[in-house]
Amino acid sequence: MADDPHSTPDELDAGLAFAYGDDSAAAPAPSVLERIGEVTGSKPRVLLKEEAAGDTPILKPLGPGERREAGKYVVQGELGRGGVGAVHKGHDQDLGRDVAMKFLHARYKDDPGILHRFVEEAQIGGQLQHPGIVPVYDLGLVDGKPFFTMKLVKGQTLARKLAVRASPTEDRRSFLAIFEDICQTLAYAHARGVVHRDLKPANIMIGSFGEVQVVDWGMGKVLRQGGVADEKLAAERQAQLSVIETVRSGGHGTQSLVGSMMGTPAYMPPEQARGDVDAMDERSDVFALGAILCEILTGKPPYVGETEDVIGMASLAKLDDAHARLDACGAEPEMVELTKRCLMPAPAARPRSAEVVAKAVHDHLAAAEARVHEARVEAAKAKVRAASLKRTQTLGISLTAVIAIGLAASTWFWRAADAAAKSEKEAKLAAVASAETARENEQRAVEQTAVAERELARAVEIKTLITDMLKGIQPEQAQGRDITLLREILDTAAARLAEGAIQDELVAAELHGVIGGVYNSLGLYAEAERHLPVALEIRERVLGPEDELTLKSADGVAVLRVSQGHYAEAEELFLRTLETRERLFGEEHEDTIRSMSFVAAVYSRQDRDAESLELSRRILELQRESLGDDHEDTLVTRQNIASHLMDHARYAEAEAAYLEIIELLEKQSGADHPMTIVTRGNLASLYESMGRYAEAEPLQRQVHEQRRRVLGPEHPQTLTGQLALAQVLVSLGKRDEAEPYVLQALEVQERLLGPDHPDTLRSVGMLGTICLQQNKMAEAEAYHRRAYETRKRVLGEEHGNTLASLGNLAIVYQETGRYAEAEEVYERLSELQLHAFGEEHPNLIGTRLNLASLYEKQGRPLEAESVYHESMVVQERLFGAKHPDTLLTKHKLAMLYLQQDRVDEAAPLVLECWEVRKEVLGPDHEKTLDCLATLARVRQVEERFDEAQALFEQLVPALARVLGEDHPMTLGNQGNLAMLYHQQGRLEEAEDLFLRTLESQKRSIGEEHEFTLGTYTNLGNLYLEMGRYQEAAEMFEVSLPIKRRVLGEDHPWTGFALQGLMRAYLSLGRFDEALPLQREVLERAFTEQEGEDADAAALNEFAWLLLNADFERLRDPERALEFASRACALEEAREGLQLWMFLDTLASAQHATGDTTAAVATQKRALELMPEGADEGVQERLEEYEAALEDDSND
Amino acid sequence: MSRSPSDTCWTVLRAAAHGDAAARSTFSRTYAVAIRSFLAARWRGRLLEGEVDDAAQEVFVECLKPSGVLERADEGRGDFRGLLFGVARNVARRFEDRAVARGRLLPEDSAWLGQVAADEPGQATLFDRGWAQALLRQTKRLHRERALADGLAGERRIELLERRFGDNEAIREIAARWGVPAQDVHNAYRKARTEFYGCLREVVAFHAPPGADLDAECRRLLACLR
Repeated sequence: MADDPHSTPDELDAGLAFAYGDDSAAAPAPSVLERIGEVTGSKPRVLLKEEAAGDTPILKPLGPGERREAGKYVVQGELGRGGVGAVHKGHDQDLGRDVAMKFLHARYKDDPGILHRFVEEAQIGGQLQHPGIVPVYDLGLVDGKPFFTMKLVKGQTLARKLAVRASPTEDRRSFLAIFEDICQTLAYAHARGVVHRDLKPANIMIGSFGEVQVVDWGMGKVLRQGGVADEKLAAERQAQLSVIETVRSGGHGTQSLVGSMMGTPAYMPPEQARGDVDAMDERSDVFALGAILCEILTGKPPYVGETEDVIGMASLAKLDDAHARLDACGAEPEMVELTKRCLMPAPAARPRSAEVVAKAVHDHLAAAEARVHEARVEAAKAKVRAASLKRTQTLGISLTAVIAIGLAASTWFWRAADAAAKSEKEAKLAAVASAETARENEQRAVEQTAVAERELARAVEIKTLITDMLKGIQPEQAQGRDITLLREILDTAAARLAEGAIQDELVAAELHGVIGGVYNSLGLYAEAERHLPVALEIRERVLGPEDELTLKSADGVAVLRVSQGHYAEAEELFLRTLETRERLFGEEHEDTIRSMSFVAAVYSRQDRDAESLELSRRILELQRESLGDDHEDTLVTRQNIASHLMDHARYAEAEAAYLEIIELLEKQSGADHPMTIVTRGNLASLYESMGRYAEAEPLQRQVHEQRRRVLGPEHPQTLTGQLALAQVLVSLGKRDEAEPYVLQALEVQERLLGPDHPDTLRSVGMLGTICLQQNKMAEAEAYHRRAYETRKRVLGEEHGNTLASLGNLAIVYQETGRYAEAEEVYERLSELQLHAFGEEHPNLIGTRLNLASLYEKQGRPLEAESVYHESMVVQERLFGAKHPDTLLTKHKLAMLYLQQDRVDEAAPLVLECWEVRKEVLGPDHEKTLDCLATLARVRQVEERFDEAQALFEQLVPALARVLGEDHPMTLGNQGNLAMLYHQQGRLEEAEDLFLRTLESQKRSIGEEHEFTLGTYTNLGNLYLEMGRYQEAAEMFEVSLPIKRRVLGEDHPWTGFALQGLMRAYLSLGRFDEALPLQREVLERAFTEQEGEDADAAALNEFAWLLLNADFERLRDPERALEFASRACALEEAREGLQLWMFLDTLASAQHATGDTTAAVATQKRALELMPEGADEGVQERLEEYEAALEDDSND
Repeated sequence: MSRSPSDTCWTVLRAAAHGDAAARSTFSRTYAVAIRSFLAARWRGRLLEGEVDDAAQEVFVECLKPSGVLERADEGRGDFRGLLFGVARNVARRFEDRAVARGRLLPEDSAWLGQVAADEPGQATLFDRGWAQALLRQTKRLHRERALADGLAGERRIELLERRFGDNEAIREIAARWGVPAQDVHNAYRKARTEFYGCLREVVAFHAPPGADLDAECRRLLACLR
């Protein structure tokens, strides 16, 4: 078999659309109004008040590809559809009125026979002018398809009105009046030589003002003159078509057929059922009238049954059942008689035309009317007489007359009656009553049987309807429609079921199964729990554990357990049904394979990848054998395997698999097939997981658009796709674009799925994450808390989704400085995830990285480093070095190194991250900028100031552009640039930038944020250097208490503020205030720097303090010498760049302790290592020591 | 015309060129649609529009006359479509020249003629589209014939395509109308597409030069419809 490896599905669609669609566009008739408008400059426009009847319900809106204009008509949705055409609602723009537009189906537009008949229908409707016939206004052509317009009748069909009667006796007179109108209309048509040939209640419209109209003259035949269709030719053509091709639709014989036999079997005369078109004339319509009358009187047409049976009955005129029903219907004998005459098998035996029938019905109704009138008159007369009798108190009225006027209730009369006459009359009445009772009983029995049969049929229909309706609430079937009413019905049905309203246990089980399944798909697991296990219990008990229905119920319960996250229970149930099906049906049966798929899915949910994959592969083998390689079920399994590969970061294999599946699906099922769309969506998600955002974004947009088009904008799958698109946009940093997508999806989900549905909660969580990234912490917390609380309630505390929500909430805690709460949550999460997923699962890695980040914030770098390092190694192995998650961890580790002054370790990691992110995400992506910021810091620490400045000056405007001017990251880096200016000696520029940064930070992130506190310290230090001690003191006075409170006493930044304030006080001569601070500084130095984790810079700093303490009693040169020596040893060991500074301090200490010779040697070495011009004091101090040494030698 | 599997348009052309009546009839039927639609599109809205039939007839005469185009046609020279386009274009120009000479053009038509003459690529596209439409019609006929031979299921597949592409019904609607699972309709739809493409390939193979990449030819043909 050929296939089309080089043609895209769209191209093939174009070919198919040309071949089987509308290929010959023809210009429709233009709007007259448009023409007039062109001439006069304005269009006449008269609009009358709408009819009270309101709008005509449109059954189906126009499809995206359907033409909306046909000349002067605007085509609206479909009102109905038949075998050869569809009727749409339309609007005539010129005349400003609604019309019905009947379009020939495109597939018949080249069929001469059908075309001919279609046009004839329009011509018949156009020429027959009678109030009972819907007038045809216009005949036209659009896109090669003919159409005609006619009056839009607003109302109900007779079929509908008959169907809603409680019994055939209800309102019988009104229906007979309608029937008379039908007969009158047909009499007119017959007089014009037209027979209808498809008369039935569905083709009779009753308007809102009671007007009766006969519609659908599509099978009409002109008998005597003008435009007679070539019936033989048509019949020959139709005979070539098969039954399937020509049946308008399946059913119970009450729908029209086109083909060798035209019409609707249930109402059809035998000559028509036999296809003897030549024998058909007015009397064929008379038969159909009889059939309608039969339905009016008995509730059913003459023939009842499945289509094929009905055709058989019609062709043989098997009317016994109809006659029996007519005899038992209790209608007036003349109507029963008329019906039977109309239904005579031989046309010659029927009334010769509709006019005769019309007259008979009219006479009957008139007689009945007359009888009623007479009775009313008699009643009135009786009243008058009674009044007169009462007045005169006479007894001169006969018994007969009294009975006739119905005054038997008068006790006054009975007392006056003749006793003998009374006895005789009573005996007669008793005899009549007895006879009537017997007849009534018989009739009642017949009626009760008929009622019981109807009730049974109705019950079956109602059950089917209810089942379908309940299923219709499921998102997949509801397809985005408002299901509020259906949901209420579902809840009511559930409540009634709970009350025991259904007696039959198996029916109850079925309803429990349906209702529970619907609740499950709505995410209402507690409600589902009340039904699905009940269905299983009943079926197990009544049908036994191995019945197919019991197994289906077991599947239902197991699916619920999966939804609830109770995987072990689900697995047990699935395995049990699988074992039973394997034993009963064999391994290759489709139900068995489906069971296997369930088991594979539940393995996968439990992360038992090897088992899941193995089983999936076995399923694939079986499907390939039994269904073929490219069967849709086989492709579903292949897709599952691909998803499995994706989940386990086997991206290349997953990508290859998806691409192959998509190619096959597009070729076989077209690009718009739901599974093709799903697979393309999966591919887009794969690209996103791989960090290939540039490919993921357009694909995800394309898929989303396709879903909107194919499934509608509110379909759950469309919304899921919309969220996937939003996710990519978030990954790309386009949060402002993503947010409306998520908000809109949430609005629809809350409305259509309810607030507890998993899809709704997914949107809530995503919004929380977006708000978090936008620094809208309160909103983020509210969203995440809502997701967490709801999931905890619906899914249980240990469900994977609940845990994910909890993790998100912990991130909010962390970001808002609630470290203790955050740490507690992370540790709990880690435990649960380790237990559930094993130690290398991405979720667990994510939690551990969050915990590491928290350690960092708490000043616990070693713990953080250990976690980062371990995670990075695992990620590199699982996802590869360029994966976004790996890069993130790498970057975090680099920043940690940087904070610890391990710049040599940090630099290569940062550079690698920046390069890769630039390549993958683009230079302006937030994460790329994040790396750039770290790189700038690295260069700053390395004292490669020019490079650092260039990087910062590139970074800050980019951040302002991407994240906003007040974003913490923008301001933080603005502060870093200010610090760089400070380092470069550009003090005023530094001050200006620091001040601007501080103001913005105080406004946007508050005084307690660590970035704001950092800026206070930096600005204070700048003022110290500028000699503006008062301003320096103010900076430290504000920030020190906050740091003590927020960061803690032990935090290094608290120490820096302490030192800064102490120096400012000293410089201002506020010694009393400086003394306790200096003591505190020294105490911290002693405690902090005695351990193995000593910081060389801090040791050096304290050595300097011990040498230069402003208070004599605090000076300690010996201790300073010890600290300085350790600082130099540490810095030398790690080949640090600050060794020259530490040597400078060491030389001072040596000099202070009297070892000037050593001091000279040390200072010389400091001078050698010092960057040129860094500190003139070093040279000065060397000269001082040399002079001292010389003095000593002179001494 | 009944074709043997080894037939190509060149075997028909040669037979037609040598006076085989059946082949000539086949030739005319096969290419009439493409030629007519090209001429009708070229002359739409002009006085010449009434001469489409005559001009189409003249194209056939040009092809079938002794020492005409068909006799000179050479398989090795490539695609017959190009040859036919050349003939149709020449005949069209001849009609246009004649109309000018006889003063049968409206004044504004002179400017239009200039544009048509200058728009060689556009005219080729026009012809290609007509050509593609003609081949698609052949494909549809072949496809219907094959599918109907497959009995009820085949008839259903044709109805399915008509409903899907003609009446714009969604697969799920068709499934509901037929009262069968949507999956079955999807499967039938997939099969119908594959069959249709197979027929298209066959029709294209008939017209394509020997050794041509048929899938690429199909793609090119389908693209012409846009």
